[in-house]
Amino acid sequence: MQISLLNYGIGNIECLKGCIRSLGHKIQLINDYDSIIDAEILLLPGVGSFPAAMRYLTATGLDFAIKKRHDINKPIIGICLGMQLLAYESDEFMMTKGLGILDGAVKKLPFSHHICWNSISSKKSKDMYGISSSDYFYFNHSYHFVGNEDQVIYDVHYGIRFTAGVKLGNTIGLQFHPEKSQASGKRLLKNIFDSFDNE
Amino acid sequence: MNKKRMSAVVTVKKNIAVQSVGYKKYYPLGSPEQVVLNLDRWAVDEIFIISIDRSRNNQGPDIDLLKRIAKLQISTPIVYGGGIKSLPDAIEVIQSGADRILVDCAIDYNPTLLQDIASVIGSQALIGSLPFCMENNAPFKYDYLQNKLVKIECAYTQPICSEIMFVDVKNEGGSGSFDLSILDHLEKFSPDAILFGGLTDPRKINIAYENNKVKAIAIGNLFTHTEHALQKICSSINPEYSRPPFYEQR
Repeated sequence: MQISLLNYGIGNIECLKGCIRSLGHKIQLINDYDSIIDAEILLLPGVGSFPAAMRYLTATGLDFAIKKRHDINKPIIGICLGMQLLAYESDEFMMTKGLGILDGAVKKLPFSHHICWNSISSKKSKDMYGISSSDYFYFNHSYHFVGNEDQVIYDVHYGIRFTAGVKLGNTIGLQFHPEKSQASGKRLLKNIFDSFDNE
Repeated sequence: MNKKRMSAVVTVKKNIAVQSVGYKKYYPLGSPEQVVLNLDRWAVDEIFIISIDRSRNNQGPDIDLLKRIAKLQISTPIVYGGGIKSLPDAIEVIQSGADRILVDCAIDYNPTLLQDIASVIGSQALIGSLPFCMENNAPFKYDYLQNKLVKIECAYTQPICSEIMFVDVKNEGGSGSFDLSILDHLEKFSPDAILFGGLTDPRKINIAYENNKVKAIAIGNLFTHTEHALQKICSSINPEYSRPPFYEQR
């Protein structure tokens, strides 16, 4: 498959490129409206601050492209910041509007950061992507998604329980970094890509 | 269940991975890429790549090294430090393959830099490096460029970086010699702590991990020199704190 990675100027694109290639898929970097709409699978990468990323997306009009892509049910995977951008708004540094795809907002965690390897819990008894409690994933964030529980597919515990993964139609958001989570992360990404391929 | 991190430090000097002792002696290991590949295969929690001669030589970050490492398709978080003096440097390092950055000298010469970087790449991607020394019962930073002790800038104590890497300068490169009294100073700093410098004794690692401020410990020479040292250490410490050791299946 061809995976399209949106380059919004500050994401860790090299890491994701390497991971996707190691799974046997092709990768291309995109940052224009038509490529976002036409992409087989769109990846929103994950390092940076919410206001800086949204400034770029609104200034270039690419926010409309992502929203339209979700509306026509084409696959989107948001990772870490990429997942948070899908929310209505975030109060990181200042109140900033997000893409408004997910029904919820991004709020500061009640502690400084969640930077660790942690296990996640699936909201379903048998996880659709084959993840178990013995899988650990790398988290690195200080804000988290708070919203409609119907959209939550994974949660994580670090003093409190909060959202680790969301799914709405063919839009998936992962708060952790599967591309940095070694064997568990690769397996999860592979299973997500395969699920889109099988549709 | 969340785990504390067990990180590895790859020290790079003149493009060669080296073992480092006390900021003074360096012994060649070989290709940094091969060292990083090994650490990724052994499933270390995080890899610090520190180019120690970039600032001294008035160079920016080693982007070529980062791009070579990015091509290796490793799946372990990477922290890069060395020569980062500006916001454009920080952005270029992240875009070239690092997940987080480590800043040392620039904090003293440009104290507002940390806030500028945090506002763009996020504070979770920013670590301050603090080579730590006690002198006459007072804490100091070791400025390795000037080879002297300097006051610790308040930028370290404020909640700008997500974490501070406390380097036990006197024991760096040693084995099991880390000075646990450093733990008594962590509460003065708002960010959480990564401890580095001779911290290879499992008993001391367990004590360090028990401290709430300590989120990670980092080991350099032992991990880069001895195969499966990581797995042996993971097997020796309290399993509540670390992921189980991983042995590659062939």
